[in-house]
Amino acid sequence: MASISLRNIGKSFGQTNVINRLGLDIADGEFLTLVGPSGCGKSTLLRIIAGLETPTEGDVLIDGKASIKLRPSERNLAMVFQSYALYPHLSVYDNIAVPMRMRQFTRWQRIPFVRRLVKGTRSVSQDIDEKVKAVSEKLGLSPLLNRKPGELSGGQKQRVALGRAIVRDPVAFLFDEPLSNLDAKLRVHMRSEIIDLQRKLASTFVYVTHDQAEAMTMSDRIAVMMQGDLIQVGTPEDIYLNPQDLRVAEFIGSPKINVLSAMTNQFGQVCLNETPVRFRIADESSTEISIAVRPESLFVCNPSPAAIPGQIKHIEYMGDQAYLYVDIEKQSQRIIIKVLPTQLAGYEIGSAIHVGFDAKDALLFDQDGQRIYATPSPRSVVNA
Amino acid sequence: MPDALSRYPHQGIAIGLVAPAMVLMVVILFVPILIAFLLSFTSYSLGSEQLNWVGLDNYRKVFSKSTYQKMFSSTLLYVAVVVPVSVGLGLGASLLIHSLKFGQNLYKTIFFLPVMAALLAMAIAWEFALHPTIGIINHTLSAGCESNGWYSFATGSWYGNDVSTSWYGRGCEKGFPLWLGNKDYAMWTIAFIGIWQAFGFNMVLYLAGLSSISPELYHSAEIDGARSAWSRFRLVTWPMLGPTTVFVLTITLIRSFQVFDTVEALTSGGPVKSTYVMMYAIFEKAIKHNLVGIGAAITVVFLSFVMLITLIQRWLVDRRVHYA
Repeated sequence: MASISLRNIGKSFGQTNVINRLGLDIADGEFLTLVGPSGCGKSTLLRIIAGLETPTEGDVLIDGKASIKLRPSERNLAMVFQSYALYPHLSVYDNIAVPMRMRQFTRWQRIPFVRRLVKGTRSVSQDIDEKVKAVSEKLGLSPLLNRKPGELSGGQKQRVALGRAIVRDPVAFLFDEPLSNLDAKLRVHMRSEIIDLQRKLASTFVYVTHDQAEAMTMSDRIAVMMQGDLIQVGTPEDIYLNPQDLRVAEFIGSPKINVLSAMTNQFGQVCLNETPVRFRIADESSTEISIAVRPESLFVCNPSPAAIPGQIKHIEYMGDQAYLYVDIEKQSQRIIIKVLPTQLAGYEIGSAIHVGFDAKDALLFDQDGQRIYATPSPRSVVNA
Repeated sequence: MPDALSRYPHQGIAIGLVAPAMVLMVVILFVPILIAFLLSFTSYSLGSEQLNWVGLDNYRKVFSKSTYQKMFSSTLLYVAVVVPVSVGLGLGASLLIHSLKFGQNLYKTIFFLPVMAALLAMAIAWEFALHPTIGIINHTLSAGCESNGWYSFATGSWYGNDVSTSWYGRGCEKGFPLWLGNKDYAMWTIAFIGIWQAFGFNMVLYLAGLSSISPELYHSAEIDGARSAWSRFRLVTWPMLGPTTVFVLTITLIRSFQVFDTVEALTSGGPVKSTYVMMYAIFEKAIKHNLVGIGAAITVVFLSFVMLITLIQRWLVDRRVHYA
């Protein structure tokens, strides 16, 4: 078990920067998720940790030891790939046994038949056999040990890949979008299996995904990456409630956070569609800002000067909840309001409604997408 | 079959659609083979009026006369040399080329040239090169006799070897071999040209096989502890190339059994029948000597060889190397 530290890691392919000098400390036994849209450099970062890719600059410390010059096999990490990367010609048993044989057998012992002639093979193979059987028992693979990967379902292949990773007690586990080839139902199931596994092993997990739901549900901490930059690292709650960047706010949460464009006037008052909202910011100049509000923080309210008028364009009924898609005057983005299905009565497509939100639920971002903080006035509620 | 017809009302159409292909297959594949098979039991020669049934006589000759024993041994020698060497070289060259960062296409083109060139034309070039007195090969070899360093290296005299016991030393004294005119060298020379011609094709097939191996498998092998290039080759490359290898082996085997152009152009089966391969024997007996019956018998033996190889390949593909 080990901690992993990234120091000033940068990676560029020719002129293109894939990762811009970033640092990250992953604690021993932590489940850290690297999340971001495709092409943000998260997989490259994981492969740098694994040693499959050499960074242009910086160093990777595994358990405090500079490891950038070490071969992948010398880092004693395990990795699960998106395509599982099972050896198609080997049975499930042999697939799981490969990392053990590669490490514990000598050169001669690795050759079938010849290994029987070498002294001491029997005790090593018995040791390997016990481990493989124990791991397959743990993952429910025992009845499948003689099958070839081609005869397995996606979920079973995933389990074999997990088995191959855990069989040799590596210091940390790396996952490269391991669930994205599975169907939706299985994905949710495997999520909990991986979390269980991490609790049992109490080992360091670094998990790459583009699925924010996976990141939110599985991790101790989330690291959000965008365009090669590490934007924010924090617990799921922290990332959701306190995004430091508009892109983080937009990426995390489903449906997406509502972004309203607003102006501040010379008194620092925030004005939405030329109507002052009742909170202010410290900077007293007239600039454009964004107000971001989660769908569940918006509500339909009675008409009042402070409420925002809009028109329902679409209603999505989900069973336990419903989403209203509302167009607001002078706002380019359609907003989404989460309501209870019981509140849908009386609304239909085309209905004119008023929308309000609590000032404490509003997140403000400046033109560059950086978080700014409001100083709420005593009566801070937007609706009447 | 009124019952079947009523169950499949469109059977007539189905048969009509299949018919052209079936007719073609019968006319251009089955009938000729059948005719060859029947002719092999006769002493027929082209243009003769009657057909004498001789039973298994032709086959008895093929399996007993020393000429045909030489035919089998030279064919098998050719196959036994060309197949492993050209497959091995093809694999080696493809691995080397695949590992290159640039220049891949240049090497591919160079090694593939002999495959594209007409073998008959190439045989003439080889004939010049291998000519005992004016050929570039013996010229180069005898030029080496003048160079002291090379001479002592090639004869092994630097190591204390007796010059006259070494192949090169004797060559310098008594002249280098008549590559195509000596019965001890002719088949090996033909085999060498066969390898030169075949390995580029195998290399291209192996390159296609290599490029279809997922890089993630290599990464996975690396993380699993396969540190040396050899262990990655054993764990990933070789097994993943299994289907390619079976195909390459089959194709090379069949093509080696079919060797003809070089023999016809360079040695005409000689000297002393040392390069009398099966295809050339068929050509000589059936076309040149107009002994169609015996030619047909050799053809049937040849076809059964090829059939056997194909069946083994099918069995291997189904059994061992097919990863669904």
